[in-house]
Amino acid sequence: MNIIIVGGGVVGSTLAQQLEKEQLNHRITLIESGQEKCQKLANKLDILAIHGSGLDPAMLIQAGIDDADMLVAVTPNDETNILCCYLASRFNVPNRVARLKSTNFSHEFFGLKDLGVTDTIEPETDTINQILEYLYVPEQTEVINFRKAGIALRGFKVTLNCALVNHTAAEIAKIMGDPHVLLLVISRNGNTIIPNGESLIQLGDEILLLMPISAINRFHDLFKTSGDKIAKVVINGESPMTISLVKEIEKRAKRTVLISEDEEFCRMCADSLHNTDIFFGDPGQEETLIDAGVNTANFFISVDEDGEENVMTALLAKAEGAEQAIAVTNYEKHLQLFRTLGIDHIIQPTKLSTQQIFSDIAGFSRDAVFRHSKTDMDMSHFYIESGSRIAGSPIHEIRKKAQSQFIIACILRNNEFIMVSGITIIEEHDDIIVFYNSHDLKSISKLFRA
Amino acid sequence: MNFSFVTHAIGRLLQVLGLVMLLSLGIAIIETSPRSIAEAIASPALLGFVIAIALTFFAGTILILRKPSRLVGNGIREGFTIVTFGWIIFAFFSSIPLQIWFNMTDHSPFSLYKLFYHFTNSYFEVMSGFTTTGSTILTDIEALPKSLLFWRSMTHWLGGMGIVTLVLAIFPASGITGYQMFRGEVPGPTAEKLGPNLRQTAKILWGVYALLTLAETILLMFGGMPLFDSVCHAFGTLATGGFSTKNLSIGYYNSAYIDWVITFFMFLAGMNFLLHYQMIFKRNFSLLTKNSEFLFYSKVLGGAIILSTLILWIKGILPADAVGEIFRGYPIPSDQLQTVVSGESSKFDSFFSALRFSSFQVISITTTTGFMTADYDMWPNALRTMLVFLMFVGGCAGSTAGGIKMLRIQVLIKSMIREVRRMVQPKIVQSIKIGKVPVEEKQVANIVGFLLLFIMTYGILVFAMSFFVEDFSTAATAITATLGNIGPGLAGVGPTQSFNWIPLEGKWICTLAMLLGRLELYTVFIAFAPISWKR
Repeated sequence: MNIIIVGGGVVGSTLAQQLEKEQLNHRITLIESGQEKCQKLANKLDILAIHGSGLDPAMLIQAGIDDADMLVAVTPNDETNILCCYLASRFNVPNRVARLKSTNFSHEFFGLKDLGVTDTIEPETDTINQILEYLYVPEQTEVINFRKAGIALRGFKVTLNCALVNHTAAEIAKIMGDPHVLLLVISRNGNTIIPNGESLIQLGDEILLLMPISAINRFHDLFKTSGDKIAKVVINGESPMTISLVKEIEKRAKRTVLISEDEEFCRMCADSLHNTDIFFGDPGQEETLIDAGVNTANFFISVDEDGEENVMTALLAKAEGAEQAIAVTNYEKHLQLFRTLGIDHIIQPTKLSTQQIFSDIAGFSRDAVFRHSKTDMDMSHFYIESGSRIAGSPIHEIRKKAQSQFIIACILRNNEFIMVSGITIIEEHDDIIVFYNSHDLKSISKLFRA
Repeated sequence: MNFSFVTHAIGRLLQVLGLVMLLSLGIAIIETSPRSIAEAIASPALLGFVIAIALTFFAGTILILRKPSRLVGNGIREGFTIVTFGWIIFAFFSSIPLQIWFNMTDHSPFSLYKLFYHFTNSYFEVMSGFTTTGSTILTDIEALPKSLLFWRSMTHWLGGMGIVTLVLAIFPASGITGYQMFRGEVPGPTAEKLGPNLRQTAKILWGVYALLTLAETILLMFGGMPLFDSVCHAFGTLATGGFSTKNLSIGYYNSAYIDWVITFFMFLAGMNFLLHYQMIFKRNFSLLTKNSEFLFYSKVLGGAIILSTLILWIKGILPADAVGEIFRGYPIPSDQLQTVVSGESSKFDSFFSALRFSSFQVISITTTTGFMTADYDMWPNALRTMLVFLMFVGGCAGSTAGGIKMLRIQVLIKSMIREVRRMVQPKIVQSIKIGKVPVEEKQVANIVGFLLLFIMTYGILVFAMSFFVEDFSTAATAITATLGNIGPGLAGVGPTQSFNWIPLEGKWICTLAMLLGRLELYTVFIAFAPISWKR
């Protein structure tokens, strides 16, 4: 595949890195306007890095836009990204992805499609949504939305007041009020259980649920722990998404507190936020946290630009007595460390968007769209080509033929979400999402790709 | 300071004044219907207006003859100077008809003192009119000819919306100074533009104002009030002035309907005219539930009305002996005291009657109008104190009312709360918001500064006043009533009293207070500040 990435910031370079790791002979070209950054990327990764503007048609031609399969515009500037996509549409690039920070552009008046944007990635919006998910149901361990497919994956710990405790897998759909909710796996005391209809959900289990995105509101209602409103949420940071995040949290919390060490940002927030107490001070210092009343907070959320600082501040807040801490960081190593450090949730904005490009938009990845680290289970997305061996046969027959175990999570046929049972027949041009043990990747791919 | 620019603008103001005075001259002609010139000269009111109009036009034309030189700079000094001196000079020319009438009807031998005495009275009266104060030096209002009564009410109406604003509506705005003049005159901390330009804004404001005046006039006529009185009282109400054509003010009519109509229109006049504009022309009524200042205004008024109604209905007014002890410029003869007090007391016998009289007085005082239907000086001390506080508060910003204004009070209360909070949580950052709109820190400082200036000016004026008036509450409330543009105060200047008995020096102090109050201190201080006069 021939992929052009415009903008070599955090999102751009992570994306390039991920694509490079895939080793699928993608031809990756990155256009970056900063000379130094460009040089660094060229040295670090096996990609073609061009120094120049993504809005310069000559530069795009040089990057090989004529036969590109995909253009991903991830500069920090929304307008530039949209224009890049527009240019790409003039060159007949089929997939044109723009990264958007502002939610203004998703307004229908813009008609992003007419502007040449086929897909968008919104790391900031995704991060906010992810944080809100954790506020709703703090027991969640996995929160992934496949927007294009219209399905959502939720992993969470079963606690005492969980609606599903001591119910069988077959009853879940009834409790949730949606026949499409599917229990994928239960992790109990370190063991992985592939459930059937009679499997009982017990206290302390960690379970994975797959559901249509439309069922999420119901999911929140059923599993939220903190009544209608959370008592107190403290947020730290002055990144651009902070204000929209706080505005959302204001709706869900009785008391919202914002800490920032940028005085001008504090003033701006004081003007535009109506139900939030704003404190000016270094969140790395105890007295600031005490002043802001972190000790009585139900949630402490750190969304500053610097990931490392976020993790540190979140730890400090936790030490001061905050019940739950959420930190935003782009460092991969933090993710591995965070549980031992005691932070409850870590959110990686770039991962959210690169994940989306891989799993949702392009669909070309051979890598799993989702990997459940607890159970070593992978979820992949396969497209049944015309003339596929398995097309036309029901699922239970395919199961018999296959050398390894798998669950077909769902089928998307003509953009419709289809509930799967043993007798469901796989058809050509189906999009199927398969859940399997990661060791069986090879045989599974062979089965569905051939 | 560009003097030619200032004098030119004041010349324009005077020409407008001359035009407006023609209306009163018309009434004077109809009233006296002179058959010969000799007869016309013999009529003091008619003669007064002729002379005043001639002088005003003459002065205006002379000032306009000199072409102004080009204005350099931001125009702030010029704008504020035009407004301040415009008002002072305006009042002088407007007082000429009254001066002539007073001098001609006073048959005592001619003396310079007599001339100055009548000049003081006339100037006080006219300034009280233009500043929409409504304090009067007249002891027998009904003795005045209709043309002069009309002129008194007319000064209210002109001053309410602002004479400069009127000129801006008529003549094309003179560039940068236009806005500065508008800012100098519009009550409240902010001068919002309603239209795309100043002329449009001034037209809208005057349009709304005229429309409401017309509506009230018609409603009052339904209640049986004669046309002339209806117009004069509508002028007095919408301008939140308070001049009546009757000695007993609105109490003369003793009609619940008229009371309620005037109460309602006083309430409207105390609102921001922006809201009226939105309601009348844009049909946007949702603002009423959203506008924070309006809600605050309604709550303050509602609370004060409920409190006073309940206290007066349950407890009633002061007993006769307590009323007798209150200082008065014109004491009630002791043999009539009992009758007067029981007459007043009967107004609060039933709940609805108590509601009617207390809401009229409370709204009249808070909107700084100064009409009256009951002698609130006979009310229990707590209520009198409350009324004095309300005098300080005043109406909404952008209304014709005086006082400190609701918006400023809101900002002051919020900034007070903020300071307390900041003591406890030193790192907190808070904006002061009115509704959901943040108030700039500069604006907050300006408002706090305004309060300080107000208090200091008040203190100095009360001190000055106490040299000439022996009773403290009279001296203090005379300044409260004039600085807040209310009209009547307590005790010696109470609702049934007049300012006539106050010594000339005291009258001048009050005149100054009225001007300072109407132009909200800053404008006058800027005009007189040395920095404005440096070349």
